[in-house]
Amino acid sequence: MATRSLRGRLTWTFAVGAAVLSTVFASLTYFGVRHIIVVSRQASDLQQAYVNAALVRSAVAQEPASLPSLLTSLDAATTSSSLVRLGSTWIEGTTVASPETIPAVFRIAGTEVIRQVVIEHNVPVLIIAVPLPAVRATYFQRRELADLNGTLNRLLGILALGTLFTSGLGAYAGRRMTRRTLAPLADTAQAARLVAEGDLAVRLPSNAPHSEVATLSAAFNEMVEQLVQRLDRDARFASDVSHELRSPLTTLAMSAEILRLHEADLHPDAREALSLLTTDVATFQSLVEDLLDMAKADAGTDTLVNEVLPLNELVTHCVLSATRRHQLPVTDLRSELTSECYVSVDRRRFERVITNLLENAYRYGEGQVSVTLLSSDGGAAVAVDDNGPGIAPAERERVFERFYRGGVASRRGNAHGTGLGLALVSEHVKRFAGRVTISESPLGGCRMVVWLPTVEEGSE
Amino acid sequence: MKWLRTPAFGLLAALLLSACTLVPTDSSPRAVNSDDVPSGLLNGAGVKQSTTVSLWFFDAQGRLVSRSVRIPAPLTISTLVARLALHVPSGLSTALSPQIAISRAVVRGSEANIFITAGFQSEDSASTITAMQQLVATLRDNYGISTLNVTDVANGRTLTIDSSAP
Repeated sequence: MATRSLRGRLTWTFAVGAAVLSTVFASLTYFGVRHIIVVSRQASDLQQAYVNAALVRSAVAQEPASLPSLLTSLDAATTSSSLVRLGSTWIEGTTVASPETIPAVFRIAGTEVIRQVVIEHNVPVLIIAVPLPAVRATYFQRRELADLNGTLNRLLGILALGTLFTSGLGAYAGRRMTRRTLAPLADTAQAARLVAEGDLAVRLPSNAPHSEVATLSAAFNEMVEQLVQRLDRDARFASDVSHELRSPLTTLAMSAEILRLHEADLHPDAREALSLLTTDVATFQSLVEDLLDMAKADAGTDTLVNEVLPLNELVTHCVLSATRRHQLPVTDLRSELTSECYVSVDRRRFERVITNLLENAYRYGEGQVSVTLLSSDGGAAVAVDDNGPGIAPAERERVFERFYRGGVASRRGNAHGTGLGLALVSEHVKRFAGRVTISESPLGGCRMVVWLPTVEEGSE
Repeated sequence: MKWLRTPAFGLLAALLLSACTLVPTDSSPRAVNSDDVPSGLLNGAGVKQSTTVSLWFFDAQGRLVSRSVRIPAPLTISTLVARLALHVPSGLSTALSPQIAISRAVVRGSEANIFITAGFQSEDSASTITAMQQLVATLRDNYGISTLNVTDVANGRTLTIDSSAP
């Protein structure tokens, strides 16, 4: 059975609760009313039997010839059936009642008035026997209670309908009440979703200061505050550390460069050590630069300088610049744009995006890299393809996380990056109101696509 | 299986309710407290202990004649028949056998059904018709009977006499 939502379960609880309560009340009502009706009817029938018995006694004693007509008139007046037993003689009022319809136990002469409700042909019948010792006779009265059964059945039907209606009403009330009660939970879930997407400014309102919802809202807001403070602390720490490392690293890099100028004079072992040192210092510098950028982005201290630029020219410039500066192989650059597209971006950060994507493609690919400009979905896209091992669909979201080391790095060659390149790409593209996605490349590897909204030329 | 509980309870409640829809019946007769019975109904206060009835016999010319006598209450057909058979006034006769025995008599309106176990020869048509005439004349005066059915329990034969017929 599928797990029901909290609202569904509460609605169900309301409906079941209403059903149980209304069933209990309906049962109590039914049995109470039935008791009153049955007792009342039997009491009135008993009183009628006493009156009839007194008339019969007088007739037997004074005018026996009038007995048959008396019983017939009594039956007509009371809608019951009367019989009188005088020794072996039975006097009947109507054809409905005959000696055979009187249970054997009633025929035994007694000294007490007795009564019994029996079922005859699915109809309840009340039989009353009144002994008349003064005339050595017994008066019997039979009364069918089918009308009583009908009344009780109607009552039961009405109560059952009432129970159904009440259950439905309970479900409806539960549905409405839970919608209002659980609305703050939906708001909390939405706020948590926004926080997870990076909107740390979102807060929950606390309209009712002393309610449980206000407690939840306060706890949520407190949690977000703590989260913001921690992120700020982390960003400041990363920024400070990166800043402090940058000066000694620059000194180290310059020293290594000076050493490289005298590389020919060095011992072969020293030359190899210098090569390793130069490479690692470059990696370290790159990492520190990335960390600084990331910290600034997190702290919101970096200011975007957006310009409206032609995408084709911008990408061409970025690819050539990155290739030259980072000594990358010549990259195949193609455009499938039908007309010139303009995008609003920060030139320095966009260049960083293209550089990181190219470095990633060369680092993890197997040498063949191409950049393609595409028209896409109301905007323009820059696709960077490689012929590497690609990225499994399950990992395509996670590779944009900071320092993510999944199976990607191990499958995609043995080169080492800083672990921040794609995270920075994602951060920057988001700030350009764009998005970055990963798919299969026509070259057989991975295709990273940066989508950007296009703008009119000359717009701000 | 928790989800089955609620429907099961509902079904149980419905079954209980449906089982109780009829007027409750009694497994055996219930006696009514004597104090709740109107005074005098269960005793003989104020009631006559005998009653006067008309009995019909045959005179010497074979005609039916009536005689009034007092007999103890209650008046039953068995009492009347016994009187007709056994207590014949002098100068009169009866067509009923002294051995006549009635197992049951049922009176419904102006019709009476008498079940005779002995002393009634349903095969002897002449004497039977005479006895039937005497019986119906007596029952007409005392019970307003106009139609009499006499059943010989021994052979199951029923004879009918209708005094209201032309």
